[in-house]
Amino acid sequence: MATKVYILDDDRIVAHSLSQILRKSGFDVHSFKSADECINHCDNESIGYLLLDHKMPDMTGIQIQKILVERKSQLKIIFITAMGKEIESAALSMGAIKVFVKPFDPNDLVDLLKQDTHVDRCNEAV
Amino acid sequence: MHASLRLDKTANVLSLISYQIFIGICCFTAVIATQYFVYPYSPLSYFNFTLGVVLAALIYSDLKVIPGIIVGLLLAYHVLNIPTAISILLSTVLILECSAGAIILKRYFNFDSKLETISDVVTLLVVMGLIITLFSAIIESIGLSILLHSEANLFASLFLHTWMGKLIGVLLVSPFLLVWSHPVQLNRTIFETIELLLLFSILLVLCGCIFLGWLAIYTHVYSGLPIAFMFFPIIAWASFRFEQHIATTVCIILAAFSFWALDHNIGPFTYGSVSEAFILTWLCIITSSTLSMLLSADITYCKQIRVKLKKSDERLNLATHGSQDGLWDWSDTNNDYIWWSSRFYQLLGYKEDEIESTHSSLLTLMHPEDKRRHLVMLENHINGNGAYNIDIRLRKKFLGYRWFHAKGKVFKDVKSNAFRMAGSIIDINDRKNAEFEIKRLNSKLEHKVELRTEELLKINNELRNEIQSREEAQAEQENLRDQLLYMSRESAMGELSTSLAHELHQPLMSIVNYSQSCLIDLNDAKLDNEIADNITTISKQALDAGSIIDRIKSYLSKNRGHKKIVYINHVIENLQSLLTLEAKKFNVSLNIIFDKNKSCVKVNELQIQQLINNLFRNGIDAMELNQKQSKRLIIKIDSTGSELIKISVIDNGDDQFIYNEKMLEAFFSTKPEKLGMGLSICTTIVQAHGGKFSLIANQKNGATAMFTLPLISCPNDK
Repeated sequence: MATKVYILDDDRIVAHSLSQILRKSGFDVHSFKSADECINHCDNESIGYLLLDHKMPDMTGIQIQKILVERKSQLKIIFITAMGKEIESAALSMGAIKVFVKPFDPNDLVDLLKQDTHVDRCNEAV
Repeated sequence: MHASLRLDKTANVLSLISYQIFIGICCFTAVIATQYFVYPYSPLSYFNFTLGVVLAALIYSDLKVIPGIIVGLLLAYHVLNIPTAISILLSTVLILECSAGAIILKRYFNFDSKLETISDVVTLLVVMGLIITLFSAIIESIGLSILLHSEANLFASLFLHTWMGKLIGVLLVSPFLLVWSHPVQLNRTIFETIELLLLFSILLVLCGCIFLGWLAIYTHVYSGLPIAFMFFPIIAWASFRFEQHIATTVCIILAAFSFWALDHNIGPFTYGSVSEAFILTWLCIITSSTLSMLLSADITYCKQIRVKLKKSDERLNLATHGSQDGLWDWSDTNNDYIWWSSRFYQLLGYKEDEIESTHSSLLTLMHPEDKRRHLVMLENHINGNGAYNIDIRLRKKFLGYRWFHAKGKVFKDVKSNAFRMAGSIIDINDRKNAEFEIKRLNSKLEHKVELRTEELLKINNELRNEIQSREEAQAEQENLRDQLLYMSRESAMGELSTSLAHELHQPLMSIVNYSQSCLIDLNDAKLDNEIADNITTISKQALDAGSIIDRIKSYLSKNRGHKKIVYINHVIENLQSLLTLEAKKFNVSLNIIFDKNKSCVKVNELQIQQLINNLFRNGIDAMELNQKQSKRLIIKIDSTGSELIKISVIDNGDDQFIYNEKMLEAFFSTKPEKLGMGLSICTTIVQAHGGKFSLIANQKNGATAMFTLPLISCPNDK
């Protein structure tokens, strides 16, 4: 079964271009249209990765991360943001696995996802 | 005769001719009248009235009247059938002697034809009566002797008669005419008038008795008695009591009666021969005339002196009363006695018998400090060194010492020795007191002026210092303003670059993503590598652009200025004067509420000031169009409780504030001309300091911009 990747970015083109690459790389991608949609959808049973932008109109990425952490969400959060350096420490301290600073090479993201998925599968197998 | 008959140089021809005719008639009449008293020697009588008339005319008028005289005389002589040669001789001699007499008397002796002084009478008597007539009588006698072919022994008789006749003219007729040529005093008292009438009455009665035989006086007394002497009291009375006019008139009346009596061979002079009668009559007339002239002159002179003295006294009294000066007269400087006027006594407060008017008593009244000055000045003045003009204090009877101004002048005799001194004193006490008062007030004023000048100088210095410190403060403010402006620009640049970077990163990310997506498709399709290479290049360029943008952003967003621990109140205080000035400019009432706890924060002071300045300007902008309320802005620093300090900027803009989350974003502004970086910068600064920024509506109107900062313990608290 393909790994689930959720994208939350207020910039539609960035979200679309990223989801295109990920889909072509074999991931099951779903884009949220708003922070509320993301919060409502992501419950504690959701598994997969969440690509989270930080600077958004409704809520910041860090705020959303906080909510999800409080809900004990199992989603793995990867930040994709232009303000990478400023929020890196806060994001990583709350459990984000990586902070990518835009613009970044999407191959790095794909490689990270594939690698992490492989590790998980290995752990599951064990 | 009247003074108006005097010919002056501007008289016209008509008046000159009239005058000549008048004089001619007078001379004619005189000659004829003389002829009436003809005795043995025809026109040569003892009574030469003509000379009197001609002399008076020439003394009174100038020599212009000579033609008239000549005509009158010659006409008269012709009427009297006097031979031409004799007429000419007589006329010539008469005119010459009278002209000479008039010229000499007027020019050399200043003869006053009023005969008011004894010297005038004596001059007339001597010059005219004794000298000129003597010479003219000699010449006339010689001439007549020759013309009449008289014998030598008759010359003496001729001379005597001629001269005696001329004397009558000089001493009887001309004085009468000259005196009456001057105005007579008419304003007599009733008693004087009665007296005058009495005088003439008695004169007439006496003349009647003596010359006319009234009261048959000659039958009862010896005929040899000199009854004529009875006239002398009358003459004396007329002379002493009345002026020359009356005296000469009395003489003329007397003379007239004498001539008449002589003519009729009666009277006191008729005993003896004709010649003796003539001589006696002549003597009587001459004596009485001369006596009356001398007496009246003396009396007149005395009267005039008395009048002058009276006038002088009156004048002096008026002057002294008018001037309020006390006069003094030290008639003998070697003597102690000084005459003091009544005013002098008055000024000193004494009655005339209460104090001796001496120099010594004056010195006792003088203030001891002034005595020496007075004596020195007096001595100097007497010796001719300077004037006597001094302010001294004299002790008045009851009032004590008062200031007087004394002045005087010394009089010296022919040997330049001072013998007399006179002057005045005046009470100048009030003036002196006023002078002292003025001096005192002046020095008081000067002192006040000095004090005031000092005060003003002090104030001036203070002002100068104040101005200097204000200028320094202003310079500081300008500096702060410049710094804030620079800071603001810097922050704006930083904020701008950050926002731009963020905005540009999104499309660049999309470029890279789509490029990679295309590459994946190209790899799958195993298509031309050149397209793949191009797309790869596109992707790399986009990534490079992103790096460049990051580097620029990083450079422009460098954190300038270090943070340090400061009292938050001080941070605001340093900005206060700038804010106050700005508030005044916009007519805003500014109120700053400082932190009561005097807390400290660790901040970049300039950034916090920039932040507050931004919020302040926003508040002012919000109240710009206030019409309902007056503009009020409050900056409140509040550290009660918690570990945070709250700084609020509260405005009272008219409209209800409606919050919009975009307000805190970059490039958001309600004003088209503004960049919209303000609140974005504020947020950035606050977050950089670990605080939170918020913008909320007030309950009624306006808004509050508030930010927090973490508290830190102050250096003195440790």
